[in-house]
Amino acid sequence: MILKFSRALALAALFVSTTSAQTVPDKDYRDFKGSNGKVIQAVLLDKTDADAVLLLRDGKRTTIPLERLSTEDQEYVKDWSKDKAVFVQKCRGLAIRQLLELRGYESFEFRLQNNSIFIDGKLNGKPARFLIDTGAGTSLLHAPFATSVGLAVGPMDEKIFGVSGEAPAGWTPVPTIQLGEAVFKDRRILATDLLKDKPPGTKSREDVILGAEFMNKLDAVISYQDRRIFLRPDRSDESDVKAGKGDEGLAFRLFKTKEGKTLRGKVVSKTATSATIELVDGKKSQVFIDSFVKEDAEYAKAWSEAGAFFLQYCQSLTIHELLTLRKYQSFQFERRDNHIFVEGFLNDNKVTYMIDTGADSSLLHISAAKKYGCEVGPLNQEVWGIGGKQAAGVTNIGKIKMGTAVLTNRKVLATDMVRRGEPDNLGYVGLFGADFMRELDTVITYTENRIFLIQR
Amino acid sequence: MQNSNVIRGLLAVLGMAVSMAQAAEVRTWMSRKGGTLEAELGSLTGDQVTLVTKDGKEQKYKVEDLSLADRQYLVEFGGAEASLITSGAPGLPEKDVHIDTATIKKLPTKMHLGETSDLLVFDLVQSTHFLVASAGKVRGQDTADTAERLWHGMAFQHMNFRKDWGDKRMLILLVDERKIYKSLGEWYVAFLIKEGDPDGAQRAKTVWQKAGSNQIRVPEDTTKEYNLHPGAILFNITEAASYAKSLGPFPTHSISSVLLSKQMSGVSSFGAEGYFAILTGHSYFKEISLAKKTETHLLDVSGTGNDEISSKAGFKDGTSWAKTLRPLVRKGKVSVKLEPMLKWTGAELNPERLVLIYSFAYYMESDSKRLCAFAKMIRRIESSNQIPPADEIAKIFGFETVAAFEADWKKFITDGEFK
Repeated sequence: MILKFSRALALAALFVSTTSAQTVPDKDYRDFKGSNGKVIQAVLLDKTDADAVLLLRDGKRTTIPLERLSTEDQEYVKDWSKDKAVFVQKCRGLAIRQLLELRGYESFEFRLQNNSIFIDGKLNGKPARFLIDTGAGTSLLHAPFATSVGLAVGPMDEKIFGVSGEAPAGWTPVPTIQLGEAVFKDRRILATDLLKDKPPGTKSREDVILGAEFMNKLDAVISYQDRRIFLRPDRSDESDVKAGKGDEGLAFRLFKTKEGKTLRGKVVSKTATSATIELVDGKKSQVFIDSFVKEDAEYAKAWSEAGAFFLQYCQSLTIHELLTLRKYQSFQFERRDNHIFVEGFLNDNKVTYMIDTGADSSLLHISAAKKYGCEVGPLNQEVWGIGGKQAAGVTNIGKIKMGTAVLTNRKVLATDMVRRGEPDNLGYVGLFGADFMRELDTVITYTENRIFLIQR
Repeated sequence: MQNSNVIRGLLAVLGMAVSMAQAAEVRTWMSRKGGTLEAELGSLTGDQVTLVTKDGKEQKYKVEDLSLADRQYLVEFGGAEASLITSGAPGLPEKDVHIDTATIKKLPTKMHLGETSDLLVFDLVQSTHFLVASAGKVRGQDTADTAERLWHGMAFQHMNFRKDWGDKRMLILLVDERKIYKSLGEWYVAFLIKEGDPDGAQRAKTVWQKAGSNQIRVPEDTTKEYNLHPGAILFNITEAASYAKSLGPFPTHSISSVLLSKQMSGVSSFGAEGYFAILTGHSYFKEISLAKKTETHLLDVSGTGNDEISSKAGFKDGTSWAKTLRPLVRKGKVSVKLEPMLKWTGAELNPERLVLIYSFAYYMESDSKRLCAFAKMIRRIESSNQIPPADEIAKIFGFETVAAFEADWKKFITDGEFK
């Protein structure tokens, strides 16, 4: 199998290098910069230790010594491999979903309420609405809901903090938390009244706030454009497969039957009505395609040997590689406790933002907003969060920049985000919220510690 | 010989690879006539697009037959040239769409609102995206047809519209009997008070008898029972003719307004400036372009107790709006300025201002390229919960400055396209 594969690769390379200029789509051209600063648009076709072979826009080829390219381009040529380039180009259109589902991730289509992400799960065996919140360092339960599903909320003698202050909370033993296949057992989670200060009659949108500790644990990937979140159930407490380190250990897919059974494995062959699945323990199981749930039945129907061969290759791509091919830019994020941060600019000043899917709208810390030249209006608005409400001012941001993505003339709220009695050094200027992330089709991956953005 | 076999074999694999590789995402593609196909993007060559269905079958379409939203998707996600969306006139998808009459069905059951009233019992007509509940002599079929057409128009232009809508239906209530309408008002006011919204209750009370249509909240048990969106449209019918045909002026206006406001998904208290102009302009534009005239007056509710109302309209019935505005703009009696217009609310409206707002929507929505910019602006509003300020609007439409945007809009009014 391996032998056949590498021969195929060599031939594939041959196939591509004879491609004529007309068939190279525009987007495949790269701006190569000469050491003299001159830019040429070309596609890299081949290389040696000393030279690069480039296909120019007019269809002509040229061989150029590496030293005549900019340092960045020299790096690009050095990292480039012909075999990989061919398949990688072919892998480009792959959806994040296709990539991750082959690696044992379970995918959840989420619903957006305003800009907040919700998925359904179970708390203590009862259906619950989970808010996906990268800005919550730890998960939280809505106390009345916790009680309603039979949990014993402990004495409210703990304190939790949010942008708008603090709130009392009580430790609550939770026998099970379930998100699809992922099951966590015997956790202790803080419960609080998520409707603190809200007028009577208000209903909570969420029953549970799923915080960063679980997303971290489950290697979560969140994609606004796909409107999906991907989790690795084998990272939870209950799992039939050993968790591999990194992604390499997993090369299976989850198949669910209408009867509620889950199979972990991959399709190795199929007929018109049934699929043979090689399970993770090596056993084979033949399953009627119609007995799968809709999405999995569709997958099995569309499965082909040639497609599987191809996908197997693409599968080794990281999300970073895949999205870079699609011209996304990305930033390594920094973790502080369970929170994630990226660097960017606020009115041309280099600053740090906290990435917060739980913030429907981005929010600035008031003294940072003023320091970096934002106009902050009177404190006649309100922000809501853990801790109830707090006064805020409408703030005009001239320019927010992250890499090459530029957002101009935005209005956000600014509030005092520092806890009472503590010094004014948050270490970041505010929350980069779901409003901006939706606009920039953001993808967040906890495995690769990266956030991806694209400005369309 | 052997070699060429291998190559052929490999090409087959690569060929496969290409169609799989482009398979970024299964989405619903839509034609102008309303036909839909769930498929992945296979490839795009010239003006032809190949879509791959879930069972692996390839289907080819002319790009110009696809919805504007699909073409925008091709440009933004499929790497297609921007010219793909700028060619061709947007036309009137609401008129071009074929609505299969078999999809509009009378249901055998009746809907009850309120626990005790014998009056609040509604006949039901269900279509793909709407549930029309009627009481009195009026029938729901034509309104369902109108609503489906306007739904198609939105899905045709706005990329997220179908996805955001999901599998729920929107409730439309038609009431043409005074006694029932009055009783419904009493029920609704009591419902709002119970839900902790005394301001809303007062507002509803003030406009109830005067308003021809109202956006109302549906009780939670009803939304659950019928899988409905929480917001509904209520028509207080005094003139039945508009509801006994497809795309009658007033229903077109009101439903268009609700669909666009749903797509914008609300704005924050500090980001609302311009919301009125965009929504009002759009609704009049749809009403006049589809029904050829307007019969809509705007009610403005003001006063500290939400208890004063006044009525506003444009010049005559809409057939002469462009004709009347054009000379006023030429002579400088009406100035074409974006920033002040975005600040207008119902209270400050006069016929000239209303018609300028209409011309703004007409300008944005009557040309494919501008329509795509308009769709992009709506997408921005959807995620940011604010109307972009004037200079951002200009930028979205491809102008460096607000003055350049205004100059183009003015030229549109004075030099012909605005009719």
